[in-house]
Amino acid sequence: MFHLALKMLMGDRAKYIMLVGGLTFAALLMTQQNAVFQGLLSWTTSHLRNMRASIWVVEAHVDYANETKPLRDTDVNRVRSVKGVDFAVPMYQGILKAKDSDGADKQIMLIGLHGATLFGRPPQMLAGSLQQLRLPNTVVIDELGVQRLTAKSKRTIRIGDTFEINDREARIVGICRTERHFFGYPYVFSSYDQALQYAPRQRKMLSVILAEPKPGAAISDVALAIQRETGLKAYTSEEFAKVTVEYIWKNTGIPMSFMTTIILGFIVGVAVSGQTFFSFVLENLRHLGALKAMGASTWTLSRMLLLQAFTVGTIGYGMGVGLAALFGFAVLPVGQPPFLLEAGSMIKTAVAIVIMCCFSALLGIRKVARLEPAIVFRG
Amino acid sequence: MLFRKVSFYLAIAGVVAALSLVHRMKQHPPSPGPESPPARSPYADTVAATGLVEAARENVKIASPRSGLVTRVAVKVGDRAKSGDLLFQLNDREVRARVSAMEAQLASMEANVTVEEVSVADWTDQVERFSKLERDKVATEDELKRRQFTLQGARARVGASRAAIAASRRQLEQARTDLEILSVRAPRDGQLLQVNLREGEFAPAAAMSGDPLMLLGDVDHLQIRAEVDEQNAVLVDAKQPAQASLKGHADLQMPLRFVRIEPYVVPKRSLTGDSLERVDTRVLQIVFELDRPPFPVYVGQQVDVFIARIASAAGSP
Amino acid sequence: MSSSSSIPTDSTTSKTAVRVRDVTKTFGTGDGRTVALKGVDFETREGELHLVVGPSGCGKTTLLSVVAGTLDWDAGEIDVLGTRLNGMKKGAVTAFRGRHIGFIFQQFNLIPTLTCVENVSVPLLLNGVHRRQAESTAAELLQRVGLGDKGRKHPTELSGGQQQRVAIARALSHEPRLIICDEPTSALDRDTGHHIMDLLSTAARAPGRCVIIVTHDPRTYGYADRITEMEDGRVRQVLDGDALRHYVAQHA
Repeated sequence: MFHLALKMLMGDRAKYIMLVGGLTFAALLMTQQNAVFQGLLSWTTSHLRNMRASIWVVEAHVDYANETKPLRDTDVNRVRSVKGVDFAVPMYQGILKAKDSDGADKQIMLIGLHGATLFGRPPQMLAGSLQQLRLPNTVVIDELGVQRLTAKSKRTIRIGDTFEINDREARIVGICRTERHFFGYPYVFSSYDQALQYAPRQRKMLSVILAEPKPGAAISDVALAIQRETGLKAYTSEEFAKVTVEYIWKNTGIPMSFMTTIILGFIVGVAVSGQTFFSFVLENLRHLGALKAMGASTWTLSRMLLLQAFTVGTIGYGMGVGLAALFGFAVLPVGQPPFLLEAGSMIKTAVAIVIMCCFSALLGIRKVARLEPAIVFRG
Repeated sequence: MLFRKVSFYLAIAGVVAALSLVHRMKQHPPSPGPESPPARSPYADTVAATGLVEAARENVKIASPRSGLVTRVAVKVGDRAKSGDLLFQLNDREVRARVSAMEAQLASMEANVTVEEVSVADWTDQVERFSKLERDKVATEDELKRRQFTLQGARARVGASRAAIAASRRQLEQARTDLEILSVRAPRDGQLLQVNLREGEFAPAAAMSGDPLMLLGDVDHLQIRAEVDEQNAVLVDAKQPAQASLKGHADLQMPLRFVRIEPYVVPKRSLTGDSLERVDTRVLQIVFELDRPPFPVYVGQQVDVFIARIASAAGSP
Repeated sequence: MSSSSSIPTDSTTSKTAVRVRDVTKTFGTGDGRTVALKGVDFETREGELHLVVGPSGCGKTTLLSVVAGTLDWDAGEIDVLGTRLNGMKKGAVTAFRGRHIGFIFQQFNLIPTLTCVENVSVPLLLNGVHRRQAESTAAELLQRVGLGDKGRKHPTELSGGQQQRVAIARALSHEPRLIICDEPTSALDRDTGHHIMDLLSTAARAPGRCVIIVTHDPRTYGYADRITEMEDGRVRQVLDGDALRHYVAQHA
């Protein structure tokens, strides 16, 4: 009987396209918006992926990854003194003013890496060498930096070119790939000592201590030990990402606006799919009545309707997430807009689609349950 | 039913594409890790510190005893000097002239004494002869007496001249000492770590605030002054083993022997190369000695130091 | 034209298939209230082709719906194929209907998105017959109604008469004992109508089966074993034998 239900569904091509199209649109909208939202959220934690370290030690009142409250130089040694710490290095981070060769002001995110180890360096170098950061007045910039620091009147900036950071010369010795920063500043890497030369003089300059646990030690245990012994805040990379995202949730309107779009997508999806499916049921009411007269129970008919609803749901879902993925593949090389598709988003969309299908099927089932089979006798 | 098949495959393709994108987005390039090995503690429980290589005996800042023009610098940076070796020479022409004048004067005074001694001998002889003549009554007593007084006078003149010569000699000695002082010599064996003096410059004798004229240190015996944050001071125990590695070369390790803990906690020296000190930390200094390692180590180099810590002391500060 | 309000007794050899006693049915309430059945008695025997005739709105379709178990009634007793429908649960009635009753509708009510074979196999599938078995049985039945070559076609590709033949094949597919037809010929031309009636009267001759046809198409009267004429919610007359022949001749 159920194969006939499918044939009944797909035999009506226009209705079928409408149904699948509505659900595809809903699935696309929810998945794509969710992915853009997740992508934007991931930008808030791009620090943690650009400067890879297991443990981030920061000042006790730092709430999220982009906040800087400086530490004292000797805190590095205090962290090194904690049991279970394999090594720890200082890192500077700060938003500084740079000038391209036309003299136009640009803001950059300056990262000072420990000169000896360059620990926390970006994972992917596209050109040049990171080792040359040990030379004086050298920096490595990211692709966004290439774009931003290129003067309007000149050719694209490249290795060997110079620009100014805080009125000091910076020579580019490498170009790396980074994940984009939430505020849209290009990343500029230098050695820690060099960064202190660029940065405006302050009483305390050290921003973050990056630490790694000894092999075999649990990262979270070591982080706790650092926190207990130094009184500083030690986050594992994952924790830091989590609290950063939580901070964004609590303190900005971004999640709300995205949630609104996603919920709208859901409502539109429910309305379109419910309406289309209901009209599909209404159109088939005569046939459903005939089936009921011929001995099909309400239960059988309900299962048929559920099967039909879930079939269009599944196909609409597949095409919707497929289109969202196409969007993702298209924007990924550009890096704009943000896009991060996670299994969780796909599951959420699936749940929403299931709800839509149930809702649509229920509308139909209600109609079928109340259907008097006798109607088929009236011409 | 073609459309049904197409939509079915499209849906499958869509899910596959989405899943592959999910999978791809989960891939992050692995952590690149440190580019060179970082400083790691060889001990399970440790107190980490930053240290500075010093000469074992404190370096000698050579100063000038007199203000004056430098006429000669006898050493170069890096030269080894033995105790008493000339380091540099101040202008000594004036003192030297004074010495020669005094020497000449002394020679003339000594010649005078010789003349006077001859005169004494002459009068001594005359007194002896006139004593005989007076006994023989060939000469008068008066004549004898006159000659006796003349002899006494001559003797007194010799004595006075000799005293004057002695005084002149003292003066000459003093002038020679003055001369010697203008040659600055190494106070002890060592290597010249710095020479901030060139011939023709004026060396002031005043106490110096800036760089010394020369820095003499004993680089055969090095020591390391490690600085521990005052908050970790309680964790440091005397006599614990320690290990240092050169900054930026964690593989170049040097075992250390405990010498002493400086009893006075001092403000942290800023090693960022900036002349402005930003003092908000005080540090405990611990001195270790080390044997000269097989790789070159220079005085003034920064090192990462790990000091072993008694496990029971490992607790919250 | 002798009128008879009692059940004819000349077919004592066959069993009663459907018996309706003093059934009333009212639709709606208040001003819109209409009484469709005003105490109807009705009986059909096995092996019979029984026509229910009467002007529009006389209650014949309502009677059919009640007999088929597709409509509740207000009062009276209904026995179908030896089963008392009074007090039966809805689900049981549905199952009973699915098992024992075949339906033929005026507008055929074939599902346009299914092929003829699939349409015919529906009652079998509803009775739990396996798909392949059901489809081969359906193909046989189509053969029997002369549409063996149309199994893969969709109903919309067929003429009205062919569609009704498919509907007959569907109604017969699960070998029901009662076949209920609602104006089976009224949407068809004369020749086709006769062809359909031939098929139905053949079907009615099967042992233990009866066919009830609601119609106002006089062309079909000649096929009837018995005619019940209704008027205004009541049975006006039941005709068989000579009375029936006379009635048929009168309306031909």
